[in-house]
Amino acid sequence: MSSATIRPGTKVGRPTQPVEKPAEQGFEYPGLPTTCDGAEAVVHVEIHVAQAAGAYPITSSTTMGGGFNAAVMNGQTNLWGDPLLFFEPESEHSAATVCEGFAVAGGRVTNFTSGQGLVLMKEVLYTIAGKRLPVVMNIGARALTSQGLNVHAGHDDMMCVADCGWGMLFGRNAQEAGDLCMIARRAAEASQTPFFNVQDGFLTTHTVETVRLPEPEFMKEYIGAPKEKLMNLMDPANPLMSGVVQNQDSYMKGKIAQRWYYDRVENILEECFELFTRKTGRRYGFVEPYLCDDAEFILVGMGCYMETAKATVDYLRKKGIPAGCLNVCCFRPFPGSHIVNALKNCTAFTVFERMDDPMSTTGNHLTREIKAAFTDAILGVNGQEKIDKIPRIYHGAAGLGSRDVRPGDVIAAFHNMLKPNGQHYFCVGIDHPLALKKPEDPDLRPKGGFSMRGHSVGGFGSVTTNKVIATIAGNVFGKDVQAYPKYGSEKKGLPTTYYLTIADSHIYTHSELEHIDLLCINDPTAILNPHTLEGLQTGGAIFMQSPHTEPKEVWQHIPAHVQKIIRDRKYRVFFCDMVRIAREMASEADLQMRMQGIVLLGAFLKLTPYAKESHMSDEEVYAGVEKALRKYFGKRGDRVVQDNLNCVKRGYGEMKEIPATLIQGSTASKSVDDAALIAKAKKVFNFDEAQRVAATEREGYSIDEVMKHLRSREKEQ
Amino acid sequence: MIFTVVWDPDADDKLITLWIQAGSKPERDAITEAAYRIDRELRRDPHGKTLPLEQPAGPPLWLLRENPLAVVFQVKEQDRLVRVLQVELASALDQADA
Repeated sequence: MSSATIRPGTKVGRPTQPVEKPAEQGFEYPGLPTTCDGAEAVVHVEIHVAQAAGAYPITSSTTMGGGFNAAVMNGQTNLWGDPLLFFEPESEHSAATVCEGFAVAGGRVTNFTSGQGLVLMKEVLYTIAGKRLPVVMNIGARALTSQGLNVHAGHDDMMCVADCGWGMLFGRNAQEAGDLCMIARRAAEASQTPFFNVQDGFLTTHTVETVRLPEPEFMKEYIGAPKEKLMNLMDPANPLMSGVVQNQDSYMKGKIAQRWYYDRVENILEECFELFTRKTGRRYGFVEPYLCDDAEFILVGMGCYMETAKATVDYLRKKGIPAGCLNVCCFRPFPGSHIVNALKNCTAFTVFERMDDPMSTTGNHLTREIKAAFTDAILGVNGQEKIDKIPRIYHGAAGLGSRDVRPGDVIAAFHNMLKPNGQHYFCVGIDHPLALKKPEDPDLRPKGGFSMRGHSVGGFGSVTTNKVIATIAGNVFGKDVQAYPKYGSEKKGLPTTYYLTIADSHIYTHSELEHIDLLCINDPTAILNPHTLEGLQTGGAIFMQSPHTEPKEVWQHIPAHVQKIIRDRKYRVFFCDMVRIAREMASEADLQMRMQGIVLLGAFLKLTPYAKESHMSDEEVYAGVEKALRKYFGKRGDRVVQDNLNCVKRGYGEMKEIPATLIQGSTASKSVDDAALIAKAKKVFNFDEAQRVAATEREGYSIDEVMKHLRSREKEQ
Repeated sequence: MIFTVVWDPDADDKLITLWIQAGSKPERDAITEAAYRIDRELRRDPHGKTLPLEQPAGPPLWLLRENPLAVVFQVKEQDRLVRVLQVELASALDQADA
């Protein structure tokens, strides 16, 4: 395949070596390398080990439910030959009840839910725990509907059910989501305690990453056959009572008696972590301290932003700040002593939480529990070794409803700790009197990383294309990838943004991309807005939809102020009529809309050096492309796969570039007039004052209020 | 996509001053209509007919001329908010040296 790199020396065309990731040396089960999102990683485990799902999946857990149900429909059996079952009753409450019933009868059952769905289950969660049923539920943690509906990541739902007697493990990425699903299952069955396996909704459930999926043989060995591990409480040969009415004489006895089970959970979980690490080389524990031993300032939290924190801690260390971070992997049982041990010697620590509960005046859930653990430690009670002092404690709300949490927000939290009078409670990522401002926002992608951001419209197929590209970059070119979408709950017709990073090592940052090398514009209105170009590196490339065939025409349809940015930052502009290609190649009417996005893949292969560097022939590359297309579109039949492949080939062949001479030479008279007008404006307006006001948050008036003021002043005259 | 347009109190004061200083009813009407046109234009597409004003640092500013007025404003994309920060008579632009 001939490959036109963007420009020698620019990031897009920067040569990188394909990664040959060796299997973890010395471990029996290093995992099967692939690319998938957090939901797929969970499905991979559950369809191998579970017998049934009782679920009423709700966004963002729907892809987990869909994946499990696809296996059921395909007649798949688990590792012990049991046919898989999927029960979808009329609500999440009923789905939890299905899980309870299946588990009471000695079956291994799972569930996939999120947000309000989980909260609706709450009543049943207590009975599942009370009956000691080792159910595992996989959660896409989601913000709860409050002043508005939000389908994105939040920990409100998890904290709402933290008191139900379930174990609770939090993963930070797709790898951990799959691995913790296994660990939760083993721990649940060994301790007769149900477990939640939690990942951040969308931010992990829908983010495609490079992972190693557990081998079926390992799952078989680590989890064990259901009939050997589970007990049928409905066995007529061994009758017993469960779930009966208990009055003053017995309820309390039964409740307190359960402490016997809970007292065992921590040791059992520790054994599960240790065995998993020994077999796979992937280390898990109650907490993961990172550079905490000599850290004076530590950030604590759960979920995907704790990987962003890890990369930021490295950055701060290079600047001489003794920073560390502590990921809390296990929220239940709460690892108080582990946390105190990791934090007790620091000067200050900050707890980030993806929820906000202002009525708790002592802090949000994780903060409260950590404060309580330190109280035990200062008193030397409840199994805690006595300590002499408690570090300064700060806490903040971050990432509610998937609000972006950037390295700059993490840095802001550390700067807050460095101050003698830092804010005890704060938030990050929004404009608010309580918000910390980002002092800087560095690019913490791995060195040599390539990033792409796309602006599209829901229904164009761009988000799926992004996943396909990630799959190819990971599975065909051997790179580490991270691909994720940003869209609302409105589905089709509204703007969507998609992000992709490709690197030679694990990508830690889980934030929206503001440093990119390639900008893809599927939404033709996006080019009208100069903000679309924000973050595109000087010398980077733009690939855009255009119905025009001549570069001059395309250039003329770009607004003058956007042209100026393109010229000044020396961007290269490529274009293609993706709409026309999709229309001409679609064998089914609905594909005309959906296949616009996939044309981008052809442009990607041409614009980036990966195909060339792989030393693969055209046939080999396209075979890899077809395999990836089959993963996402195979269920719709071979014809659809071929239609998509043809779109890719046409995108590769029909993409054109606007010549640099045209871009640099376009000093139209309009631009001259604009420059003159701006020069005059600088004399008439006070720009410095305008910028000073712009940086403030003063309230303004609507035009109607302005006119009211005008009329009232007129009357005064 | 619709933006909310608000006039900063200083811009509001200045607009009132310009309106009061206008000598005749037609001139005042023209100012009122221009203010409404500015509001409509910025609400619908704050980047459509406007020019970016390059400043070395700080929040980006934009210029829109709707005779007889010209305004400098700020666009807060994430909040879908436009803040009109300053307003002047467009004739002042014509009289200024480039």
